[in-house]
Amino acid sequence: MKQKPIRGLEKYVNKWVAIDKSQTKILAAGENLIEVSKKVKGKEVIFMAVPPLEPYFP
Amino acid sequence: MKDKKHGSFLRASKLKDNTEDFQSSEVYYSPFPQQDKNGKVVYVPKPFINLAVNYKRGEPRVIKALVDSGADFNLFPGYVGDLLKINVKKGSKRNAVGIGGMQIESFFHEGVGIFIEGHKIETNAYFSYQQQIPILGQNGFFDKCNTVTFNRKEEEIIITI
Repeated sequence: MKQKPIRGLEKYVNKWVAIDKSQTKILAAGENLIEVSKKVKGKEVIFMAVPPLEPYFP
Repeated sequence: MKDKKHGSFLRASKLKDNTEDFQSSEVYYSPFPQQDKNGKVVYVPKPFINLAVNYKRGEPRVIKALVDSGADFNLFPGYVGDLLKINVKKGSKRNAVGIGGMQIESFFHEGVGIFIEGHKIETNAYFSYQQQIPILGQNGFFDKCNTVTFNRKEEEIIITI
């Protein structure tokens, strides 16, 4: 099943976010992963780094 | 074909002697915001997949990682190593080169576990504090899989292990 976009993700480019397991809500955001993980301690989340809006070549 | 017994994401292929040949998982692209040519923000599917990752017997954490067939190795942000309780800078140091020839300092570690839809891959990875996006590359991911098939139209990646 194709995944639906998480609206508002563009506000977090170049940052880390924690999203819920249904991949619909942003639960926390921060400059780095450790900062975000402290905000969601004990919760089951998915961590992701949001790539820049410009075309990205990793 | 999807195996109802194992759910929609998992299927097992059987050889003629009824032994399991490989297991496969279907995972999906993730939509990410990107500017189009007019500067408008649109959502574009990118081959980022959910996976749980751990170090040795540590607690697995779920992250999104880019499946990048052009990358030589798995390369994870240093902060992912910190989250997994890896002493990142204790790893063997190596410079990695990205597009445009930019060099980043990275540290190699064995004992990394990757779980995709319940299948575990025991592997290794480079960690770098100069890397923001977790990348699954040829050595450590593709070489541990039987096949990795990208179906861009259906926004699906089929991984057989």
